[in-house]
Amino acid sequence: VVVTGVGCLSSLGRDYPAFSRRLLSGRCGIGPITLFDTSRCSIRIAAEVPAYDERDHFEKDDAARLDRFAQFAVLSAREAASSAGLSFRGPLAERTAIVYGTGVGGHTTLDFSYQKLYGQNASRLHPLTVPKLMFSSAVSHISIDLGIKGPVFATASACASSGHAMAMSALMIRSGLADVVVTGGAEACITLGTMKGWEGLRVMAHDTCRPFSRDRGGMVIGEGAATIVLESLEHARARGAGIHAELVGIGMSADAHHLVMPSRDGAERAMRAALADADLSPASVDYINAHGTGTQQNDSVEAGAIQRIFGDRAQGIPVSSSKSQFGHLLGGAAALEALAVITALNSQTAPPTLNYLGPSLDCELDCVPHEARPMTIDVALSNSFAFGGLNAVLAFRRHEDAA
Amino acid sequence: MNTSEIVLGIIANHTKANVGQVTPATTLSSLAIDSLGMVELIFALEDRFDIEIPESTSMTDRFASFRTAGDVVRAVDELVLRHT
Repeated sequence: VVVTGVGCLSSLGRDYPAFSRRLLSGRCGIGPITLFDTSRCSIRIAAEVPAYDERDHFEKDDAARLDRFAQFAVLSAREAASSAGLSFRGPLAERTAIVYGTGVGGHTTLDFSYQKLYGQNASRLHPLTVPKLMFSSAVSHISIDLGIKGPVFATASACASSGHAMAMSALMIRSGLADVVVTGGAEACITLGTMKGWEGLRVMAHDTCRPFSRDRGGMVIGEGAATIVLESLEHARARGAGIHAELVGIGMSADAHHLVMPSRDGAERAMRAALADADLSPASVDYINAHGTGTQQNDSVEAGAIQRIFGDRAQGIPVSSSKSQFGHLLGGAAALEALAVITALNSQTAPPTLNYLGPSLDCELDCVPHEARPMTIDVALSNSFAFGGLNAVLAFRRHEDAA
Repeated sequence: MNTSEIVLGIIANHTKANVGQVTPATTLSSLAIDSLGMVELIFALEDRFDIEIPESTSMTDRFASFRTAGDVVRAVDELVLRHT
């Protein structure tokens, strides 16, 4: 299974080339929230898509029909399809699938409508409230926008949603159920309602996201979308497609443990499953793009799981968390981080972990602090560990045809 | 701005037409307003004029049967008058 198309938008920019460039130059997309008035919040930072205006991308009557997360999804899917050189107007339409993750769906719509209903005692809500807030609205809009007519559905597993989406997509290609799968994830929930909910959990950073660092204060919410196009190597070669990377292994597990406390065992099993699926040994892993949320719990548990798998080698493998650059995209995180891995493979450079203040005793890892590091990367893992103990790990390998 | 200008502007905003392109004589079919578009338009008119376009078959049918933008303007005028 190979990746032939990539697209994204995030706090690091409007498209994949901008994302890739800023990822490696060490840009941090975290800043003060501008999307709503934060005077009632104790957490006032996030990683927003900068200066986003829906009218730059959609006709006015269409824009009103898409929640912010669905707009991001459609834009990144358009870019991915175009970078793959694919058009779905012919017979390929029915042989193409879409599997797309989101953690909370049309949350902007929900927040806005509750504000009208409870805050302003509105007597009516916008007629599109329901179709805009559906988790599956993003995939429906991608399907309509690109003309894709095969199996199309959304996945939800909180912060691993797009990891599970990409894993299912790989299985669809392997089984022959589809020739092409457009997959990824989107999230846009920087609203008063969501932020107050997160504040209640006491896992949010006040200043910035410092994964694996001493004095790390927690996570920072990000928004955006990322899409990849998958197809079999044979299918890609037959049409002369450019290949970005190979998706060689998928690993999924559940902790069966706790709603918010991660388990080392579940994380370890997901990583081992991805390696086994790829028929790779731990010794072949060159780089890990961590889940690395920047919370006390996640980073400590993730570091422990890595140490158990890689043993003495654990500290010799660069493990970075790109959430220090573009925040936590929740349901879109795994997809955007898959693009970080693809950038790493193609540039032969490990992206950095920003905002690092120094080692933390419970995270003894080489987390590539501050600056990207040129190195040989043949095989890389991308970890996603969600609340509720739902884990998805993907193994990517550099492809010889890659640019 | 009078009711007519506001209504025509709202109609334009629910289509690909520019404000100013929609006149009372413009037919709704030429603007390609589908049934969902009509529901959105009714909502926007209710919101703007603080009127209620009842969810009865007869009223929805009446809106659905409108041929031109001018028909919509006249209906809104009537409802605003009834409301005040």
